[in-house]
Amino acid sequence: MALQKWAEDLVEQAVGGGASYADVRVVDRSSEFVQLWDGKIEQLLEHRDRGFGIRVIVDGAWGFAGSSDFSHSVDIIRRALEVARASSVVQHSQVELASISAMKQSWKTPIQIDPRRISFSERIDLLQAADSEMASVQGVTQRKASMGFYFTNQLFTSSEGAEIEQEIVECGAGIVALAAGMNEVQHRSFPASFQGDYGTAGYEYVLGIGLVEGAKQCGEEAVALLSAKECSPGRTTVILDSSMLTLQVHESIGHALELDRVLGSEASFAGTSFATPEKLGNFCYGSPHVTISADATLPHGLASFGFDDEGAPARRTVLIDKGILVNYLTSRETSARLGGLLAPGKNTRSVPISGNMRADGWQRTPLVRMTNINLEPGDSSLAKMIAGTDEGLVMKTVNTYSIDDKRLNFTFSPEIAWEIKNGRLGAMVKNARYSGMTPEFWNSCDAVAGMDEWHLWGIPACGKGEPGQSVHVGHGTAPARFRNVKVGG
Amino acid sequence: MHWSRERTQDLLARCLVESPADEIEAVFQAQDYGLTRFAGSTIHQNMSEEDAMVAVRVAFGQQLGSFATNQLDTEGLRGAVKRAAEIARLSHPTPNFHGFCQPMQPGKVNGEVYFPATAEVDAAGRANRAADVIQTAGKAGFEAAGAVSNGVYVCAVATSRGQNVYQAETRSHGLTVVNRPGEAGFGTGYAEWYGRDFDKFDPFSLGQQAVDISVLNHDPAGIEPGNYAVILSPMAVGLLLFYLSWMGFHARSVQSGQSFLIGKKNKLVLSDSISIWDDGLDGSGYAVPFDWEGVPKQRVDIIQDGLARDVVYDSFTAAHDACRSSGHCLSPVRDQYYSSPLPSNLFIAPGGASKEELIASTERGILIEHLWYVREVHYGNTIVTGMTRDGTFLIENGRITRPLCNLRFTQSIAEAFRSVQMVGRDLHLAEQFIGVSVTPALKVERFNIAGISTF
Repeated sequence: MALQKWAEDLVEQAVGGGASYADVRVVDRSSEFVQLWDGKIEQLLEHRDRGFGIRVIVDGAWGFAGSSDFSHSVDIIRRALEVARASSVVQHSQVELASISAMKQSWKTPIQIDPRRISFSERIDLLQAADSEMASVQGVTQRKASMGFYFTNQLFTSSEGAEIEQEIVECGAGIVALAAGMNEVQHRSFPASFQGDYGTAGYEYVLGIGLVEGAKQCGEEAVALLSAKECSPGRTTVILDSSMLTLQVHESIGHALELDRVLGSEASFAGTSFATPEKLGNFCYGSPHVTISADATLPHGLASFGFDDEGAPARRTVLIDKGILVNYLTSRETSARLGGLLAPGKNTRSVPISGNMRADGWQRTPLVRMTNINLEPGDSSLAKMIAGTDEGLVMKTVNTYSIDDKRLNFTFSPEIAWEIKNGRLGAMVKNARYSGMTPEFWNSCDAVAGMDEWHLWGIPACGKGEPGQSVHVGHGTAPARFRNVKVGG
Repeated sequence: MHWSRERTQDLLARCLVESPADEIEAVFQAQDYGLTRFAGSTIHQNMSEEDAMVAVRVAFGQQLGSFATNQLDTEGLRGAVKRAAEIARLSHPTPNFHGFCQPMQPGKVNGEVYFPATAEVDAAGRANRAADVIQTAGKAGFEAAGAVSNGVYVCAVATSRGQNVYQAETRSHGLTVVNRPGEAGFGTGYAEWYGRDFDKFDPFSLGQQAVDISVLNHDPAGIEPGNYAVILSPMAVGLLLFYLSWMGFHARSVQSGQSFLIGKKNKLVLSDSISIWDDGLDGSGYAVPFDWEGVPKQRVDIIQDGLARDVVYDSFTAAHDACRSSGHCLSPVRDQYYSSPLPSNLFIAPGGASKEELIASTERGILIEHLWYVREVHYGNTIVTGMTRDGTFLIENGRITRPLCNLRFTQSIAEAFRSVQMVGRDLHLAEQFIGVSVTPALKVERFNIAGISTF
């Protein structure tokens, strides 16, 4: 309560100093990260990061300042007000916020096993057991294993009366096996790349990954890739496994539908988007098999929470409904801006506040970010898709990725692929990659697997903005099939 | 925030005396900076941040534990050391650890690293420079997006073996993308500036550079995929150099079998017109004379006249190879995607050609101003893929004849750098994901264009 009162006082002082709107976030985040290379601890770090950030609107312009020194609060309020006044000098129109209810609530991640109760020895033993499995495979030349926990307590108070407290717990782990050959290194990650798989949950999430069980195959596949055939260039059918699809959803849909980006706010850095507002409600983004949602309410999702960083409640929003673009990821400001842009009679759709404003800690101003962005399950299965394919490739686990600054032209590559010949899986293929243009690619989707093959992956690294902000996102996906895709080359 | 040498070293000394372990290392980093962003010729994000952090690492024999905190009161520091010790006692031995840094005097940086006036620039000062960029674009009939920043950064390391090093520095930058009004993302021109002295930032010049590119960048054409002669701007070379460094210039990449330099020591691996080195004392980059273990940085000649020479080390990778660290350990609280060690103040030796001369010498080729979303495809062959943006132009008979759509390239950087025909004379300083690069333009004979975008 003392902290709540302190934050309320800051908000009052900001309003007294001329702010028409003010919010304060106090964030206390602890993280624990351990990384083994070849079974030896290379990094074992706990990190505590605590501070506060104050966001104000003065004369219709934004200002933000943050500090880790709580004794500097008066100076930080002054800075935030100064920053906003400086912004207002170069301002064509005043910031407007779409209205939301001022919530007074708290929210906690449900957990079964508190990770803080798990000793370092136990965690390292688990990683070393997985490492030993990889090391037992002849030909594996380097191994990496990591595990991370994040504990975030945050308080949000606004001049509109919001008082929100949240406790978020995130856990995850992953392993990588490398195999070096002549002028070539191949690698396999388990259960996925980007440090493995993470979720909002307790240590039970780490145990559920099955690191040790998956380690040997991870090593074997890394070694086998050295002698696998190269991917032949051409056009063919591609089936992306669940983990590979996280990348496709993330890069070609998630980022493309961030409304701040659509409206040009990221033009100088991350770029803009091809998915411009006149397309809302009528653009065929994908085939009827493609339905995409943003959902911060999903259990265990790495981007599941109670409220976003401007106090909007977590919710599920359908972004693409059976192929048609119907919504964006929004904030209070962008929702209001879009409403003003849509000419009456031409396109009367408005977009809701989707609860996607997220900040990378106390020291950053919130931006429109992804939460859990999901390809909704379909009615097929991986087995059916393979059986229904005369010739093609199955691609698994994200390797590398690149997409242009409007999120159209992409090239993505998996760690591993297999040929499909006459409805059956064939030879392993290395160095595969596929390319395309976003709408053409998603419109070529002719099957999505069902709920029993759907998995909500957690990716603890998504970058955006200046200064750079990294947030944790989730992607729920099931294997899906795409026709006439350019591969290799 | 005033993290003077005395105040910082006193803070670190308070950590050292708390240690119950055999050894302790305390690393400090602080920043006090502001960043102003604009888009559509309007300031839309504007922020200020002050933060300071200590990361302590303690050792019982070879058992290591670390704790980082930005709670710097007595309770916070005491708690950090205590927790690091608890972690160390519970951890398994780290065989490549042979003690924290001994007392060693770093070399002297050649150049100023701290400009008091840069430290004092406030939000109004940044907004004024942003307004100047916007005004320059506006006069030419364009709208501008971009950012302006300035700040103070402090780093220090102290160890119980007696090493004690400190640096306070300023950094600033300005960048802009301009386009015709209402056409964000189309027909853009880009320019950027990085430097320690904010007074040297010329917003009118920055805006004009971007306008000059955007003016030429409308109604772009496609081009057939294939190999082309390409002129890479200094910015583009800087990004490719970072990726080449990440894929092959550090001991970890050699020890993992990934580096293209493995088995190539003293052999020709790039064009003989290319020399690449890392120099933590060269003030024309962002020089810091020690690394995050407190080890003085050694100049490492990585490529000399095209010949492979050496790679950079931190203490762990040096122990693996039974050699000495070159002073290239990364911060313990870095982006975990990048493993330590890594070059952080990279240079390519300039040549003598102006941009105009590079273009005039090209019968048919492509001028690439800016790269985007470059990513690794194949480490051993140093293949990356990425896009061009903010100005890609066809050159015919020694002159720019038309703009091209943004192009996708998939190219071995080492192969491109093997086919270098000319090296530019002007150097550009740029921040990369880790560290900085100082690079000239390069004209390369072969660069693989794999596809095009629609804009």
